[in-house]
Amino acid sequence: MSNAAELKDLRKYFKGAGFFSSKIPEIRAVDGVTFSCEKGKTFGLVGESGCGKSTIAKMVVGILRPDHGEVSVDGEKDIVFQDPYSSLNPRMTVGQIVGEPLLVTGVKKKEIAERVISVLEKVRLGGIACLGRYPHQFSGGERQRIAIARSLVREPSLLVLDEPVSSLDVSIQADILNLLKDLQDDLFLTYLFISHDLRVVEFMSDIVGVMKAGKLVEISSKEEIYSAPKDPYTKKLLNSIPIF
Amino acid sequence: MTPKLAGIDDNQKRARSAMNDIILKVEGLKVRIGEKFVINGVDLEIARGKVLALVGESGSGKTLTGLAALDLLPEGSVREGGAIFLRGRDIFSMEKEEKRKMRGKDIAMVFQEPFTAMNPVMSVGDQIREVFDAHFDISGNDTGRKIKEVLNSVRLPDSLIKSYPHELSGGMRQRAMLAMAIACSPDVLILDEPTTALDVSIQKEMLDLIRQLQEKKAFAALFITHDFSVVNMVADNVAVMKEGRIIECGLKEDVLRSPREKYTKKLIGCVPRIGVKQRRLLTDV
Repeated sequence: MSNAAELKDLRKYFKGAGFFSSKIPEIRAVDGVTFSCEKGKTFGLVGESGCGKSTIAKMVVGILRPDHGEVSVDGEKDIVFQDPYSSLNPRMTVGQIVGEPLLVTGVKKKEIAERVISVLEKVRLGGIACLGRYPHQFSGGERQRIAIARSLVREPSLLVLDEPVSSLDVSIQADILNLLKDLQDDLFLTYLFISHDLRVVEFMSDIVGVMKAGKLVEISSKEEIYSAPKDPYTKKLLNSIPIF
Repeated sequence: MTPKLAGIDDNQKRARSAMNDIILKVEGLKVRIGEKFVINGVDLEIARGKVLALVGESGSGKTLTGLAALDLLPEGSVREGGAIFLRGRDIFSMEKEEKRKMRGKDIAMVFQEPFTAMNPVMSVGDQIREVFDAHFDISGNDTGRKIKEVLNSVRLPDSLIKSYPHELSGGMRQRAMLAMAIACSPDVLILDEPTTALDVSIQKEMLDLIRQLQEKKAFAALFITHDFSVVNMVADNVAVMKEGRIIECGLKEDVLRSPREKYTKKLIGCVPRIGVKQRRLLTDV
């Protein structure tokens, strides 16, 4: 398989549940989405809030089960969430947080420690020194590095990045984006990069998919999307970006 | 005596804006929280009809500077010096009652998060009515008409008078916030990251609207943001803030095209730009 991930006619509908079910209409969060992520490349998924991008992220890593269609991933997969304040357990040390995904895989303790240190070095967090520290002792950017380290510790081939820099200051954002590019080159990672920010998506991606109301309205190479967009919604989004 | 609403004449304000008069002036402002000077000697001035963008990262002190202009510094922060002049009058020397009258009428603020800034159990119409009632002595019918006018001026329909904040989208809520802020045609508008929580297409509409209102009403605006491309869309002048100080200040064109300070260069260079091929983003100069 030359693709790290393939999504076929993926659908997820949320039904208006419980007491108010009669009032809340069914929400078609993801409504027939098909695309694939080529190995070693970045597929950028861009769209505005509520378009279904995060629902796709969750289905790709298996947190949510699709109602219809299928996701196939070649090799391990993992995810980095938007907010490194809520995605890290405040009562666990960095060593525990980053090593936890390996506990269920039967890797020996000594090897876990080695892999944790090596992956922390890869995200430039200076390995051993931070193992015993807790998330609150780190800045937002450092926390996101910890989250990235955790996502890499099982050596996935596919990394789903769901708005990984959206809650960070712009200069920190740049650090993390540069780091993600370096990691991709070094480890031959495939990224599914999800963001609402068209500028960040252009910087990161090879192929871009534009989502609106649960559907992909346009998929094309980055160059095509940004220089010759075809869909009116893509054009509207591009026209909305403040430029200088 | 409370002034009549009819006395506010947009044209008059526009005419005066031709003269380069300074409406808001911040002089040597210092604010301390605990041991730390979070605002450490800030000087700013904004002329009538101009937009000054105050740019910086989180913790730089930009929001506190905005709050200081309304003398609404949060508890625990202490002003250690400096003054803020609104049309030449030092706001810190005002009596409590005068200050209360100033807020909302002479100087108003739009916050980043409209959902937390609005009262969830009051209709949009009533929240705007509150602003009028606080500052003007006008009859119920007139207020109703004025509320509709101000809603329309931010491109919201009359029907929203009876709506509650939770019934509105993020963009509509932010426009309702803007309506409340401009209801009394203030001389100064403080906008604290007013589009940061919005989707890009909504952000564009909001920025266009702010610029149009600003041209029409000629208020002086302090636009707080972290985003230089937003600065480019709305500002006349730019002040870059870092660790409580203004490190660079000037005309938008000058600061964006040829920034002097390393930090400004970094802030501009670290954001990916559309159509520019970049292998890496600028993080250190």
